[in-house]
Amino acid sequence: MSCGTGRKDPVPRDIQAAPPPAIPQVALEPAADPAAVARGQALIDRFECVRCHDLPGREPAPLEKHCVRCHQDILAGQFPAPAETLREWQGHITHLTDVPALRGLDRFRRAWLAGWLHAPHDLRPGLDSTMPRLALGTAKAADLAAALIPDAELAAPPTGELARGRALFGDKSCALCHRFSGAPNIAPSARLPVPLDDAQLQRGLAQAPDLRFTRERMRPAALVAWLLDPPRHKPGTPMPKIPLDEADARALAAYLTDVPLDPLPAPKPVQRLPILERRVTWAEVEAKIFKRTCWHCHSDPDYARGDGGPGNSGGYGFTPRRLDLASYTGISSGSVGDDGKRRSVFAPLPDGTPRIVAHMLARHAEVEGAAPELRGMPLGLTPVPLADIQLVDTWIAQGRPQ
Amino acid sequence: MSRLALALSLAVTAAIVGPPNRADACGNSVRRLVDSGQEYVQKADLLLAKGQHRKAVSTIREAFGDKALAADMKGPGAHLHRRAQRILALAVARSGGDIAIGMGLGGASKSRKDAAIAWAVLTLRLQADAPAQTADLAEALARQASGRAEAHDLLKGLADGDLMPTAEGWALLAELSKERGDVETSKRAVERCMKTYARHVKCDVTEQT
Ligand code: HEC
Ligand code: HEC
Ligand code: HEC
Ligand code: HEC
Repeated sequence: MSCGTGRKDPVPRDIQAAPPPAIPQVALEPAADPAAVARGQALIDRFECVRCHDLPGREPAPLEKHCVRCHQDILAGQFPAPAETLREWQGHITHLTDVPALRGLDRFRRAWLAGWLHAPHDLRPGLDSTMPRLALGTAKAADLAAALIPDAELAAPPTGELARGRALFGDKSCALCHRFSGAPNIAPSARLPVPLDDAQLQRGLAQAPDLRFTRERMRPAALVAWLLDPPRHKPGTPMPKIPLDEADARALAAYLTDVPLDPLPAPKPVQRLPILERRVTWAEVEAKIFKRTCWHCHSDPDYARGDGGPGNSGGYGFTPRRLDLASYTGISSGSVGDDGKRRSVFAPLPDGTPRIVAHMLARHAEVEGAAPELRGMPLGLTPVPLADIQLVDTWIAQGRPQ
Repeated sequence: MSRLALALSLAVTAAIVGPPNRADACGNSVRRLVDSGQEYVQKADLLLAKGQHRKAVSTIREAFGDKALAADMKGPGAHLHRRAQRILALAVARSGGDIAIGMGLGGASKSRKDAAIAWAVLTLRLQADAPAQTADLAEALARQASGRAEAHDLLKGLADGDLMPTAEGWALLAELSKERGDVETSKRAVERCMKTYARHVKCDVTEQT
């Protein structure tokens, strides 16, 4: 925690009224191996993290490559396009409109980050998009985590009072912005904890993480420091500074860390719907699925100055798959497999599901919390509704009428 | 076309192209505002797909003039130029070289037709790196007596991988395999062609018995 908000000298335990409950002692994380940090820095470039995130010390991606800033500019009406066009676009854009900036990341456990980068799950219920599952194994994920969190962990202050934390959680209206799934429902009090204008509230609602994961993710000392003053730890964060004293913060931290949680529901198996009787044409699946979401990453490079998006020309560290979902000819031309050869996206997998359908079903499984072997599509975005996947399935079964 | 004429034609293009109706891949939506040629090429692409070869050619020529035929182009417009060329080449192949595409290529006389087809084969050969371009190349090759065997092999390869990108590809494979006495493949190709319901494509080029 380079910014020094953590307590270097824990308060002696004997001044506390009650001894802290026995929690399993987790060894503090040491500073990261410099070699891993160097490798991780190179990977940040290779995986193009700056196409979505702000990262201190790095140039943001240029506007025409930036998957978030361009959308934000359009939504804010700041994009140089005719007003009518802008309005139409604004009505369509829901994804990649906001992402957390990667600042003050040393509040997180390096080990947690490595595991999560390898198999990300949704953290922020208010965001439509999730961190995409990139093509990185555990070793690369660990190197990235080292580069993003090079510093050693600071010793935790003594544990606060859980009961007081529970009361504060309601009084301070934490649940106004946050979901805390698996924890008892505590309604926020009727007033805002601090004055917030509408824009601040909207951003807060969009970016507030589900606090369920905080106990795995945050370093205990950093959690207390965060609660005391989020912007100090992460300038520009949408979490406001809520007046708390040190004991309040420790009590809230204890509540967040120790309140028993219901287990997450087991991932529901994803049901592939039966093939329809009625006729389905390319025009229908194009309008409802492929040209709604997919082609923003899988387009025809000839019409995009050579960059057909991450799912075609490559990007985010992916090798080019050359899959063009913007036309009948494109989708019929298949994609480039790991062996460098073209293969049909309609070819059935061993269980009979066409490959492209399996990728869309896999996105449902990912959102359910499973880690399917196939990468879910659309990558990191809202799954295609099952009834629309059924249309694609039917269209393929009918011989792909044009 | 002189540089001045080209510049003028592009300026005119830019002036009459309205705002894009729908965006492509994100970047594209914006590029349509920037690259005025794009609207033309996409329009020509659609015309070609509908079988309106002559209109497709004139649309490309409106935006690019003779420059559409120039061998190579560098810079940001290179991909669009490449696509414009591919559309011209395919229009030549599908029309049998009937349409004049500029620089003395294409027209009524046999020599003009042959020259246009030779140009189309050459152009598409340089681009044949994916199924769509490969099928286009096969269409052009099939217009040359000496190219039909290669055309057949290219299409058969696509069909075997279930990578046939167009109804035209199926129809031509049906024709070429029938010619070689491969009735099975021909029949299957006709079936696949029919299933695409491509209105402007004649699938039953082979009368099955
Ligand atoms: C396509 C856009 C995109 C790209 C590219 C991307 N991310 Fe993310 N990332 C997201 C989104 C969206 C979230 C928010 C996810 C959530 O909260 O559930 C996120 C969240 C994160 C978080 C969690 C931060 C927090 O405060 O909770 C980290 C860390 C992160 N990304 C690191 C990376 C790294 C490292 C890379 C490059 C290897 C990267 N991201 C590339 C979209 C992206
Ligand atoms: C130059 C600006 C620009 C950039 C860069 C950009 N987009 Fe978009 N994006 C748009 C516009 C404009 C639309 C709306 C298109 C429409 O209405 O047809 C859009 C729409 C979308 C949509 C469909 C609407 C939705 O919210 O589901 C997705 C998905 C999308 N973009 C993803 C991406 C991804 C992924 C990237 C980065 C690889 C990206 N965009 C980069 C301008 C951009
Ligand atoms: C106005 C909305 C808002 C309110 C009210 C609010 N938070 Fe937050 N909180 C956020 C946002 C947004 C973030 C994510 C900040 C970021 O990533 O930059 C956050 C982050 C956090 C985190 C880090 C969690 C993690 O897993 O990364 C904790 C812990 C937290 N808040 C606790 C609280 C508590 C306790 C309260 C009540 C005292 C509270 N918050 C009130 C918006 C809010
Ligand atoms: C945010 C960008 C993005 C969006 C949106 C997206 N994709 Fe992808 N897609 C990718 C990337 C990147 C890959 C390459 C992944 C890899 O190499 O494992 C890919 C790969 C695929 C593949 C596998 C290709 C292969 O040969 O392995 C299929 C099939 C696919 N996408 C279908 C879709 C469909 C269908 C949609 C819309 C529902 C969609 N994609 C939307 C980025 C995207």
